[in-house]
Amino acid sequence: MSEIRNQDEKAVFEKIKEDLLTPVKTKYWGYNALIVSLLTLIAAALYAYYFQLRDGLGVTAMTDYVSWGIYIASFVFFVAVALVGMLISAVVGLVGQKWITPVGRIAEMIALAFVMMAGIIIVIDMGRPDRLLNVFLHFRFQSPIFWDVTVVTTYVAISTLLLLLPMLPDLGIMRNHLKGEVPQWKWMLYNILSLGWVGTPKQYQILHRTLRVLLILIIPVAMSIHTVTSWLSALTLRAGWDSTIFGPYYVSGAFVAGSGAVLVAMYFIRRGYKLQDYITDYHFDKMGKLMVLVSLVYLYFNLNEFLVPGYKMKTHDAIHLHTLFNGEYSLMFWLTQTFGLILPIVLGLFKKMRKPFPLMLIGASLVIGAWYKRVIIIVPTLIHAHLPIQNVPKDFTEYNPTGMEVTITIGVIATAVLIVAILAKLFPVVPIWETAHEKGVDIEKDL
Amino acid sequence: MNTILKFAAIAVFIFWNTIGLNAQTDWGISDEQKAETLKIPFDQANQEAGEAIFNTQCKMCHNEMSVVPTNTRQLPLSPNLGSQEIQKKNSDGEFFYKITLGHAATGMPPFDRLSEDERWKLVAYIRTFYPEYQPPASISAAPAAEKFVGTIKGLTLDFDTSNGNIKVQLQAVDEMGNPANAKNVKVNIYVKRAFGDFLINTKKTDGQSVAVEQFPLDLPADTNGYVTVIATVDGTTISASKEVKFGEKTHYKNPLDEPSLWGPRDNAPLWLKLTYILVVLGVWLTIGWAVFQIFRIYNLRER
Ligand code: HEC
Repeated sequence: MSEIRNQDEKAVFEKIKEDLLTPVKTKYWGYNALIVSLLTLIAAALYAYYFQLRDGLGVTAMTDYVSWGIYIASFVFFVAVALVGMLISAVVGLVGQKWITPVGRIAEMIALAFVMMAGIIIVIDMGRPDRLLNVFLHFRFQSPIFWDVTVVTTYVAISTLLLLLPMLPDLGIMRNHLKGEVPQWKWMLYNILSLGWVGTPKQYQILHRTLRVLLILIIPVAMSIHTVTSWLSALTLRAGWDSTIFGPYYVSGAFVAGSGAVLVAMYFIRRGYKLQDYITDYHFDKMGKLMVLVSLVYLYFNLNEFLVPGYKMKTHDAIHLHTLFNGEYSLMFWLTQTFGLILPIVLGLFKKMRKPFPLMLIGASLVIGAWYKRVIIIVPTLIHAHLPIQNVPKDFTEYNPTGMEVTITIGVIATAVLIVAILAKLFPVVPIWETAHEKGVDIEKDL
Repeated sequence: MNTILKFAAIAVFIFWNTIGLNAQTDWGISDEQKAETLKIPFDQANQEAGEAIFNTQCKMCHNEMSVVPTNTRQLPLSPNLGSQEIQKKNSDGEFFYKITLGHAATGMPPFDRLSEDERWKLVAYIRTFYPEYQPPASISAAPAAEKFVGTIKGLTLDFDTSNGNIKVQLQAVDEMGNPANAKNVKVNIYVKRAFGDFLINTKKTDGQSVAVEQFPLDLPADTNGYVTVIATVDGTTISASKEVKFGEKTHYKNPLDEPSLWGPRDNAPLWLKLTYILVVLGVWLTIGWAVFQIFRIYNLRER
């Protein structure tokens, strides 16, 4: 009896292992095409960045008025998307949701890649990146920018650990079974990263405890990374930023952007790696519901953020709000609110729409909307100077990003995608050991 | 009936006040007050005395006066009192009581702290910008003081730190070039302030070519306890200045020296530093602990 069971288990485990490790071993034509096109975009961005370094920030459309353009908008966007790691693994995971098993690692990879790019684009936004060190030499405890540097660094560290630690058992499996099947350097990498994982009960015990502590720790850290990011604006008196709900407004917006990104990544990974058996319609359905939930929360904060000042229309707020509602930025504003918020909620309510393909489209719409939303948050406020400078050139009150700026920004986004792509090729996107565990296989014996 | 009338009166009164008509136009001057005329001789001495007061008390708002048909000054709101429209509209009494009572609603301060005589002198001075002005016949003007003819060569400025007396001594020669006493020459006395020279008074020299003025005791000295007194001879470039230790030292408290959110790093509030350090330390110690766990896992590897 137990003999049969054992054989069964072995077969199941072999299949899981084979299915989930195939992407690591196989060469894909589409994948290589993706990498090449991303590298092209990055090369173009590097070329443009060379000019920016040589000629200064004058090559961008930023001026004394609009001193934060699409770079900082992208920074906020990156931080926002990065928060999804915390949402999925920590919040949803800790409340005991089991369906996140095949999604968690994808979210964690996205988080790591995007938070790293958040750090990079800040440096790009500096006219003199060689002075970066001054942030640490001449920091002020009182400055939200310094707090931001602190939390971003912390989040990178924890995200790395949260990606690596749950992967240890898988790395052990790969070390044991992939020798000879992958290039030698890859195997060496797995060997080193597996940290001698053999899966003893003691190792599992340490792993579980450490993960639990980190998963709890990441919640306040992630909250503060985006709250502090919002404070960069909200701690000023400027119309559109001077808001008490900016922290939660940003955090809830981040969950929307992040779940959009995860939906897109899930779709393409599932298709590309043929993981239909592991990332199932059920998982998409669950992610779709989560997406609707976080979007509803965000909608609620949007209501507060725009209706409350919109009802009172204080002088400066009124100028700002008219720019958004029926002025210069109204088209961008309403398109963003529609495609980045309202439509996804409405569509996500229908079961038919919570299928992989429609959800991928909705996710893409959310991500693009999220980026534009950050532009809407950052730029229109700056156009109306709080303390007008006298005799400014007319174009100070306009901001149309230059080709250089756009190229560089696209390059950074491409880098984020590239990192996700590399991570998702190097390591199994769906955890082998957890999947096996859920199917009732006791994999400890395997190691 | 009576009560109804009373209520109606109160209602009208409240209405009148709230719509602000009252506040806008009424300086609160009675007809008897309006009917008053200049109480002092319209002569040079009074006009010049009025000018001196105007320069120290009124000019900062009303600026230089000039004879113009209508007031065109927008900013600051204080009108050019040399406007013929204003001159024609106001009786002597009206000017006097406008200066006395001020107009809180529009920003003209009351000057009842000036003596009545000083206020009439102001009116006399203001009226010198009204060619059509007819001074009341009842008061005869005193003969104009004789003017010094000759040349001022220089001035010496003395300051008595024991009582704050500023003494200005002129050196002058007469038409023949012989040393002479310069009488009735106007001397302006200033104190140097951050954004310019602050006029304390305009004085006329006596028979000994000397003008004396008391340094205002309510004027603070700089952070080291010094003030700079300047004297000029009106209408010339002759001047002298002197830095003296006098008056109350200014104690400047730089807000940046206190712990504050806007100050430099070294003055960050303690609570902020503590919060930052404790939170960062706590989080990074936990991260360090997690890294240590990785080592523990590594140590359990199969040998
Ligand atoms: C703080 C600024 C300020 C100072 C100092 C000041 N004034 Fe005025 N004054 C005003 C303003 C403002 C008005 C206009 C008030 C109005 O029209 O209701 C005014 C109006 C007047 C008027 C009435 C003009 C008219 O339209 O009838 C007279 C007269 C006058 N000031 C004289 C003086 C004299 C004399 C002094 C100095 C003793 C003086 N003011 C100092 C601000 C000032």
